[in-house]
Amino acid sequence: MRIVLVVHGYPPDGQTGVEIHVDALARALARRGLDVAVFAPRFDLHAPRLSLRREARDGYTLYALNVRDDGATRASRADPEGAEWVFDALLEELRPSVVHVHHVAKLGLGMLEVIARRKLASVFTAHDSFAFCHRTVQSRPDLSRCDSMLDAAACARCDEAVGFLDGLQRFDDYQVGVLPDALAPSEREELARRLTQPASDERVARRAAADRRRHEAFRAIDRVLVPSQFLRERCIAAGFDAKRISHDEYGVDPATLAALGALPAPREQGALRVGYFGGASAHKGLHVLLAAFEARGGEWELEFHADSSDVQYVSALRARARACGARWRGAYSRDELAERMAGVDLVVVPSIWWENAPFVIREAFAAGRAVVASDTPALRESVRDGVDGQLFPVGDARALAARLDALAAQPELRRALEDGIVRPRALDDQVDLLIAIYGEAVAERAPRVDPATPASAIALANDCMALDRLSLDELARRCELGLAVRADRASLAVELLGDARRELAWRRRTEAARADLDRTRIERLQRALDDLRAEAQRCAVDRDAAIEGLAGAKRELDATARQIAALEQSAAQSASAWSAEREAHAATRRAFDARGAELDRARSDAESARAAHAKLHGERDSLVEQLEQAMRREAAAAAASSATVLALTQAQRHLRELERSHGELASAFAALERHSTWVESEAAALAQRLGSAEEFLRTPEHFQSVHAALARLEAELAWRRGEMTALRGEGGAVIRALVARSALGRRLETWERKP
Amino acid sequence: MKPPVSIVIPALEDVDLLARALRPLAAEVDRRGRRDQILVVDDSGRGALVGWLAQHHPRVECLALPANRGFAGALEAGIAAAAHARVFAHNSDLVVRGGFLEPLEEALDRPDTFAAVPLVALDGDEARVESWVEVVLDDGIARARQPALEGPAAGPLPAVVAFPVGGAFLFETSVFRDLGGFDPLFAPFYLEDMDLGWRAWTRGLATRLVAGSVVEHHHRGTIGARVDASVVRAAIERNRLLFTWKHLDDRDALAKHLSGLPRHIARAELEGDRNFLVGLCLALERLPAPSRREETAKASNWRRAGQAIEAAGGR
Repeated sequence: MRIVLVVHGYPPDGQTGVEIHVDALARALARRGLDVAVFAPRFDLHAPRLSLRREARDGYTLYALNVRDDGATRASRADPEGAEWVFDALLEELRPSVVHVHHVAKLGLGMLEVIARRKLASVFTAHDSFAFCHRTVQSRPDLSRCDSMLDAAACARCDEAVGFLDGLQRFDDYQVGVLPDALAPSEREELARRLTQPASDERVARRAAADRRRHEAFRAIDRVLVPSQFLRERCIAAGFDAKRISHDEYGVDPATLAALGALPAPREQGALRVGYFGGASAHKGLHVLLAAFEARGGEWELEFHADSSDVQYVSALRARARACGARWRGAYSRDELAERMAGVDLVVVPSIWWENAPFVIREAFAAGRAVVASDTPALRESVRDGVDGQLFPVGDARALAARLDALAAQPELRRALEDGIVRPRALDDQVDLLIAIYGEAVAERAPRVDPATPASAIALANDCMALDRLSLDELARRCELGLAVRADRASLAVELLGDARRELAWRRRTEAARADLDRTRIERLQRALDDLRAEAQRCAVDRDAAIEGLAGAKRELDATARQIAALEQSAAQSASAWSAEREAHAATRRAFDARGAELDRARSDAESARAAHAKLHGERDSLVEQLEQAMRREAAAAAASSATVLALTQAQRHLRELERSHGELASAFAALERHSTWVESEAAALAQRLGSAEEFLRTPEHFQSVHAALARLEAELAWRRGEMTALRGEGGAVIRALVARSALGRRLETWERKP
Repeated sequence: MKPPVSIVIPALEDVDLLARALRPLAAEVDRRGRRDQILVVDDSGRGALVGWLAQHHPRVECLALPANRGFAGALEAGIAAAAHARVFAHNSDLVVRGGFLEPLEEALDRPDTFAAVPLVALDGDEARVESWVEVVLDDGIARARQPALEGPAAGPLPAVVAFPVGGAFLFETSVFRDLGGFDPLFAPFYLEDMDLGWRAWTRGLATRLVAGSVVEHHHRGTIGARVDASVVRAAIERNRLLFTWKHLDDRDALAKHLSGLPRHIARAELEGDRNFLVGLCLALERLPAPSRREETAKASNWRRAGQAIEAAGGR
């Protein structure tokens, strides 16, 4: 039986749970002797678009289709044009008995349509809600959970919201959605508006048409497998035929099961080590776990073993984790899973979407680790609350913190949960069921035999069916082999030649008998005989030609065989080149890991440096305080200095005014002096004249008038002398005071004190 | 007065189809008044037509086969059970037109005649004559050609065609038996009539196309409803190859055919022509059989011919 598995990614590039599971499944099916091929997309900018790379893997063949997007839209990335043509051609070549579809994201619904068109037996495993939700997880772009089912109007609103988020460049690959906290208020409002207001009629019609196509494509699948009852109910609600749906719990790869089963039990001493394993996408709820850690009241540690292409979400989480002391360990390979799992005592699955049946829960149980998970209907099936784990309300960080605090404080509680763990199903058990289902699907596709069909027709149809399972190449080889095997019969030509010779001999023996027959009959027989003779002659010549033709055909076959051998050699060279490339990749990965370790060391150093920096920062703050005080004092001194300068300036200005007044007073004083002198001289002259005139003016009237004049003059002189003295006193005091308050005064004092 | 004719109709359970065929046929038999026999061979494998015929067409005889044998097998069973020496093979989706038998009888009276075939008008359109058939080599492999179905300018109808097609032909049961009947090599369907006509032609016996006799063929694919179309196509390809290997006796053509087979394989692989490859695989599985069968057939034919010559006083 030849099986083709279809999946949306593949290790080593793809490391999601589904991709790893399909890889393990392919190996397990191949071990059972099935002819297994895996068809998956890849993204290689250096290879032609839609080129199909064929890789020999561990017992099976991987066909990787390059669906690099070349700047395509979200829609064309989900449904790359031309992928179905390549898939159709591959199915034509492989002629599988069954196609088992795991996911067609990044490949498109065309895969399912090709399978239906070819009427191939088909099996589909629903790993998420992709069969009835174009967003895969039944979550809106604001990461709220959605209950709608086949509601084109609601789905179109999601499209509107996605269109808005796509326009916010900073989020880049935000995957399912963006947490409202990461948005600006105006952006939050716009997102909410788009999620609540009706979408345009055109968009609703477009969404309805796309959903119809999705519904039709999945409805054509023969058998649907669901790993959880929750998803089974959803599929039935979405219109799947309940009779076609089977519950199929995931099995764990034997190697993984063995590696995890050999791990030591969770440690008994020290702080509880809590771990998250899986993708770092917002709908997985890592932020809820981190918030619980930030709000923790107990003593427990947290490690994230996760990564994703949602750079915005991851970088924000990493910064928060660093700030609160959680460790961000990043992505891990399958080989590292056991070592990583050994470092934790408990696993948390904090998803905020509906979830299905996470592989990590099976892996945690395989390692003997209890699980604390969000209380969704699907996770309730995987984790039994209080038996092998605990459940907490979806998105409730405080409740999660309370549970983890309690588990950290009471190790016996955690041990009780560990005792309740049941070893997960092994992949080989799942493979048994799958092979049985494949057989049923093939049997269902077998044509119904109408009783009124001839037995020979049934036999022919069976022969055709058997041949129909062969690829074109195998059919051609079979034809060539059939021809070659029969070549030793010297072909039909030789046989026919022998017939002709025998017929000729017999006719010669009966020639005499024919002579008695009527003329017409004789002539006809004669013509026939002539024809046969000519035929015999031609046969003799052409037999060699026919044999030569066969020899030519043989040569052509040989040449073709040589070409095939050359192609096989070329393929072997390609395979070895690929192995070299893979080794180089492994070396690169080792180097990457080494760099990662260096990075961790560098981070540790950075933490030390940060502490030193914080100390220095404190010192700096103290110095700054002192500096500020000094500056304040300096500013006060400067202000005082400024006031002094201003007062001095004013004093100087006043001094200049006083000096000017002093000058004026001095000049006035000089004038008064001169006037006084003049008055004295006049008084003397008058006295002289008075003395001389007294005699002359002994007359009483004249004397009295002169005497009165003299008395006025004497009174005026006395007044002026008093004024001048007062002025001198005042001016001198002012000048002295001013001079004493000024720099000039100080200099004068210095000068005066100077010996 | 010409002898009566047995009209043999292999049929399945489609009584509506059979009723439509029987109405004009019964009227024609009545008109002729020659005790012609209508024999329906019930090929349903469970006698599904017996009761229906007894109720609605009591004068029609019924031969119920215990298991389905397909058209050729049912016809052979009917021929074996026929009351008269001349048999008209009548497909169940034919509708005869009045006076169709007499011209055929006249044609069959002519010497060196294997069968007389009416003008089989596809869906009643006399311009689309299904019974005008030729055998041609198409890239080294034999196929039946129907010129009147290829386009409007097919030309005048030929007097002789390569073989009787469409399950509508009048023949002598003795000649049919002499020819060995239908070759099971081609079972379950397709090209067994071409093989029969070709064998007759190589014996110098012609299949005459009689324009004065018209029957309508309202196609009701019977086998197509029971097996997948890909099986039908594979059977056609297989039987074309078997026919070629069985009858191609021209040295050049045979050499060309054999040397061309690897090229055909390569072409089919490149073009994704699975039908050819499946047909070739199926034909190769039967390859040892045709040579032995042909040897036997030819030996017996020549023996019979020799005996005929001796009986005529040759030796």
